[in-house]
Formats: sequence, C-alpha cells, structure tokens
Amino acid sequence: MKRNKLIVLAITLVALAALALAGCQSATSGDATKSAAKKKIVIGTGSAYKPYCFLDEKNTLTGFEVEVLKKVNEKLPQYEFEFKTFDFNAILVSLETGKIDLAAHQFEVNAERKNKFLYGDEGVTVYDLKLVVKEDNNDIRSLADLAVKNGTIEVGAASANKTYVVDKWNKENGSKLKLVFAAADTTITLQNLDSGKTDAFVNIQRNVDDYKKTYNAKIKAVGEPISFSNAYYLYRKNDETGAQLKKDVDAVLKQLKADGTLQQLSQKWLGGDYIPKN
Amino acid sequence: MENIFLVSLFWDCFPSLLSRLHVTLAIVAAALALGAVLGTGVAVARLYKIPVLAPLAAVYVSFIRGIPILVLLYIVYIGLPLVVAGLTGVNINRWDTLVFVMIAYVINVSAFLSEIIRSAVGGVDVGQSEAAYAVGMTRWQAFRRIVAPQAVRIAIPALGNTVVSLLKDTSLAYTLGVIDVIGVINAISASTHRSLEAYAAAAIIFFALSSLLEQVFKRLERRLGAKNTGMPGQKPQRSEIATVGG
Repeated sequence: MKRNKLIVLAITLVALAALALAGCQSATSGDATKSAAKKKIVIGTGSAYKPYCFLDEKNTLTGFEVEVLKKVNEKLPQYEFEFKTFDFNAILVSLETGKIDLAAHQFEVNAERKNKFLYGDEGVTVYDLKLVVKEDNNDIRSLADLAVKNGTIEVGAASANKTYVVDKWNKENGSKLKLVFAAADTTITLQNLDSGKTDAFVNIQRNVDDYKKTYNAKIKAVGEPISFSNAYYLYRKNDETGAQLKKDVDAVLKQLKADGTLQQLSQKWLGGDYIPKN
Repeated sequence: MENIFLVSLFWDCFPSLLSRLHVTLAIVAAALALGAVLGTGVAVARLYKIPVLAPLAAVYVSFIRGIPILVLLYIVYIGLPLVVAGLTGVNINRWDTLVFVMIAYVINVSAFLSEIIRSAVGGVDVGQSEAAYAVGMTRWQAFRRIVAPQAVRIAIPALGNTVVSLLKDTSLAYTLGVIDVIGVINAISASTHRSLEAYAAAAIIFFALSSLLEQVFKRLERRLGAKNTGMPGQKPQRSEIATVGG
C-alpha cells in the first residue's frame, strides 16, 4: 500500500507546485490592480519587434509603442494602462474578441482592417513599405518587374499589412508572384534573399538601414513605396469603451505632437523623426 | 552575415532563458496534474463502459489526439470565452493568457493519458481480478489492491514518453504571447538581431530536462519492476500478489 500512497503524494505535490507556479505568474503580470477608481485598459502589443515593442535585458517590455503609450497614460489619469504581449497574428483577434482594448504594433491602414476595427485619427509613425532586394540586383524596382520574372517575394505574417498589400496587387495583376510568409526570424529572411530562395521582401526604409548595419546585410530598398500609410492605434468598433478611449488617446497624441514629446521619443527609439505631420 | 555564432552571446542567453523556465514547468505541471485527473475520468468511462459517457469519451480522445496543439491553443483561447459567455454570461476574456494555455495543454495531455491508463488497466490479466473476487474482495478493493499496482507498472514507460513530449510541446505556448523559454528566444532575437545562439542554448536546456526526466522514469521503472523492461536474468523484485492485504 505504501507505493500507492507515494503515487498519490507525488501527484498532489505536482498539482500544488503547478498551482503555486501559476500563482507566481499571475502575480507578476497583473500587479497593478489596486486603484479601483481607474478604468483598466488592456493594451495588446508584441514582444519581438525592436525598437517598437521588445523585452530588454531584464525581460521588461519596452520600446517606442510602449513608451509613447506610457506618456499618453500620464495625461489620462482616469485610465490605467496594462500591457499584454502577443504573437503578432494574435493581437487583432484578441482585440476583436474583447481580450484587449487597444492594439499597438505599428498597425497600418488597409480596407479589410478598416471594416473590422476603429482606427485612431492620429498617426503614430510614418510606415511606407518598400521593396527590398539584394544589393547587386539592378533589374527589380517594382512589383511589376518582379512579376515579369515570376519572382518569389517574402511578405509578412498572415495578418500583416504587407501581406495584404502584395496579395491584393498580385491578384489584380495576373497572380504571377509567388508569395511566402515571413520567417519567424529576420536572420532567415536575409538568408533566404541571399541564397536566392526569395527575390525580394517588403519592409520600411528604417528597418532596412538597421539590417544593413546590424547584420552587415547586402540589401537595398528600391523604387517608390508600394504602400503609403502611417501606423495607428486600433480600437474595437461599435464599443463604447473603444470610442471613448480613441477620443481621449487622440487628443493626447495631438498634444504630444504639438509639444514635441513624440518627436523626441522617435529620435530616441527610432533614430530619427518619423512622426507623421497630420 | 559574418560571425554566425557568437559564443559569448550563447552563454549570456542561459540566465534569461532559465529566468522564464518556471513558466514552461508550470505549464507541464498543470497539464500533467489536471490532465491525469481528467484522463482518469475519461479512461474510467471507457473501461467500465458507462452508457452515454463511454462513446463520448471515445470521440473526445480521437478528436483531441487528432488536432495539432497549435490549433487547440487558438481554439481554447478564442473559443472558450465564447462558450463560457454563452452558457453562463461570465466574461473570462481578461483571464491571464497563461490560464488558457494551461487549459489547452490539460485537454491535450488528458487524451493521451487516458489512453495510457486504459491500455495499462486493460493489460492486467483478467485472471487477476477474478482471483481477487474469488477471495472475497469487492470491486474497488480488487482494483486498488490488485489491478492498479500492476497497471502502474505497465503505464510507466508510456507515461515517460508522454511527459517528455509534453515538455517539448510547450514550445508552442509563445504563439499566444506567453513569455516562456521560447518567448525569451524571440525576445532575445528581437533585441540582439541574432537567434542561433538563443536557440542553441534552449536546445541544451530542453535536452538536459528531457534527459533528467528520462532518468527519473528509468529509475521508477526499475523500482516498480515495470514490464517489458526487465533485464535478462533478473526476476521482478517482488510479486504483487504476495503483498495482498499487507
């Protein structure tokens, strides 16, 4: 009988350990629940997009999106912002289903998203997408050049705007391009371009500059942008909290643009002034 | 792309990865503990052919075993709040993401555990229960004293496999934004723009943990004299029958 007892004991211990550990986890992630008078706003962002939202050496969430929203929260004492991290594809789904109130991950405007979500009026950054090719490639300057060669192009994640933009263009122009979703990792994106698995990928100029520097990558952004858009915050449609929050955040963003706070944050985190004028 | 592998970064990755290991372990522990309870229920329903529940249990097992964990994670994360809100009106959307992750792994592992339990109990010779009834034991006594100890021996090797797979399967939890060991890899590659080092460090951590678990289960097998693992020439250390009533 001793053995049975031991097994029961072992299972109980494991269960207790699990609960204790789960307890620790929620304690660390939800420590700001004291002030009942403030309305809690959950912000959905990512944890792997430097310099916008990433974890620093101490595994603390930081980056441009996070710091801007913290500044916004300072001016809106009626709210208490709590940040939650997601994989990029899970953010908009979470907004739709009410798990979060505001989505912040450099979201650009496109028709499909505009149908589903409420966009802020104030852009947060300029986010014009360009085609990126190997440094020694002088044939490709546009999606049309790539289509002539039946080229392969790496787009973003399934729910990314660059995926939407390229896919839409491709369908309207004879579907000659072969689209591949972005690898989970920039190293692989660059390797695929280098080895010729892909002929091009899509990104913004400042990321391309960054890749050249940090990876020593032999790449260049070419031609006119394939999409002009700012990045915005997104809110839930047909939702009182969403509408009110949008109004409040927009007002503060306007103020922070006027007094130069956003431009300063842009300089600090993005290495230049990428704040849209409107 | 020079400097494919930075040894110094590789070493630096360990503290950060280990600092979130408790999240990975919590998922494993919760999935095993609650999955064992749920899995036992499912196995009992099928073993005792309980009307209505038995066919439901069979469908549950084949359904859950047939869907990828990544899919199950998203179904639980998005679908469960809808079901709960529809049934009870309670909004569980704001629960910690980790809770949804744990629920998904509990559901997944319960299906595998129930099959292990079912086959282990089924693997005990019918004659054993019959003998127990013959000496006047009740059904419960026969199960507890005669069948269960032998079933545990049979279950141990398969259980070991499941635990090791579960440990590795947790590597999908990051897709919902939980910062576990894999979540840290993504964070490291985002902030350093390098990832091979972090993946290599994670490989070592997972390998070490799996080996540890393997050893634990090997010892357990030896102590319980599990079937199929007896070394040639070595008799089972003790016969369970001899300890009846002891």
